[in-house]
Amino acid sequence: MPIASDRTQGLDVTRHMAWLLIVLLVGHVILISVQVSTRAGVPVLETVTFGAFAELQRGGARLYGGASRVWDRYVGLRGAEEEAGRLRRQVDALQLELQQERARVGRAAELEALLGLRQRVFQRTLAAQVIAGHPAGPTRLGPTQMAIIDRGREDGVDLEMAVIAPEGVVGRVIDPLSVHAAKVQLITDRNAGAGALLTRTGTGGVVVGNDPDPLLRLEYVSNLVDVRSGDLVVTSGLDGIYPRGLVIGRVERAEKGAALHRQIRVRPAVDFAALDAVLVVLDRPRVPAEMQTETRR
Amino acid sequence: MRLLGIGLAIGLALTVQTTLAYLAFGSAVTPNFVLVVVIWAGLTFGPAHGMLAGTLGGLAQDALAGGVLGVAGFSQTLVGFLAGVIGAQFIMVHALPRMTVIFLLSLLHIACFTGIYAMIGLTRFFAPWRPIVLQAGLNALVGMVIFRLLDLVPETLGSRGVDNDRLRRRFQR
Repeated sequence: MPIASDRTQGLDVTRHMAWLLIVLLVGHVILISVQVSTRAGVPVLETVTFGAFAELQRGGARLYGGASRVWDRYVGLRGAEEEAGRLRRQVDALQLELQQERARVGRAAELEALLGLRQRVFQRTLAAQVIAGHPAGPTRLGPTQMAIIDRGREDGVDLEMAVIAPEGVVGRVIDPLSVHAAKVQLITDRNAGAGALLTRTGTGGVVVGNDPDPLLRLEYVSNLVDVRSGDLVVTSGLDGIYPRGLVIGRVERAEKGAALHRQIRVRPAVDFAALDAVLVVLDRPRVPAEMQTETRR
Repeated sequence: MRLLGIGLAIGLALTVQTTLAYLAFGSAVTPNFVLVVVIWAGLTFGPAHGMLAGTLGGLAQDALAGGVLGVAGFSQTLVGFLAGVIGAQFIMVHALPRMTVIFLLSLLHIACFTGIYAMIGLTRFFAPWRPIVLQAGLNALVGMVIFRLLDLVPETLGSRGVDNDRLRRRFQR
């Protein structure tokens, strides 16, 4: 065999060896990662995979957002002038309403000060964009109803922070938490829950997800309480996650239960299929220590 | 046939490691028989066999030791590969070069093994040099005996061993 051919074969073998070595070493690293957990108790593999895919999802969301912006700003401008006029009139009406509300808030603040009530309204929020939904898709086959947002640890997001939309409660931040992405457990998830109040009667309860049913369950409301279809359900602030007064949804139906409590179904205010921009509440509600474990799941 | 031979050698080394070594050395520093066999496989059959022997031996040791599966596998795969590369570049039939290679690769294995455990936060990086050097030295001594024994049965294991024809071909190039 000629020497040149022999050398070429030798090089080829060396390349194969290098690939085999890389495959074996990466295999071992993956094997180790599956078994080892981070300080938060989440397997390293899950954290790394989540972090890597979050970046891909962020890129995909940006691409989609850019394309839809180009469409909205330059292509789909038909009827824009008419809509602008309608919005201008709406802004005028809202400004008037805002002035009235400001006056009301001023009076309420004076009354709160007089009564010595603590201010319970949350202060700081962080805008975030939903960049991905559940990997199993909208078929609700996955173990968790969740969404991924483009804000993470570096942006000030922490575990158990509430996530809300303009319409109401979305969910809470859960593990794993990446540098610039976070996983949000939706309130519709069967393991999700929130302390709740019926605004009409002031009755407290616990709202829990009822996946795969899109309606939530409102539990621990006595059969003796008057609950009607359409009653507004808001957060009670007692779970230590969601600030008080956020809209959860409206009662869809309420039936007397066989035991002590009513069987109440609540339609969420948020349309989870069209979830886009959300707010992460950076301030946690102040809850008396003895009440923290009561409604939190 | 070679892989079967390596598998048998590793199985035997594991048995010796877990039973005889424990009975003979107790809680004192014991030689790593499996590592010695991995280095032997690499030096004798080349990088591919060294890597596979390292993976097999390391994973088996991890599984039996009850630690994190893959740590010894990782370090022994690396050691097996390096042994194969060294075996392909140098003539390793004399005692002194073999002992030196076993000694150095044993140090590398220990550094890699403890380093990975420190990286994943299960232990802190702790390198008491005396037992480490002692184990590497024991590996080199035990390795000499094992290599001699394995060289005696080259046909059965498909070993290249002290293959005079192979050496002659190499010098003729």
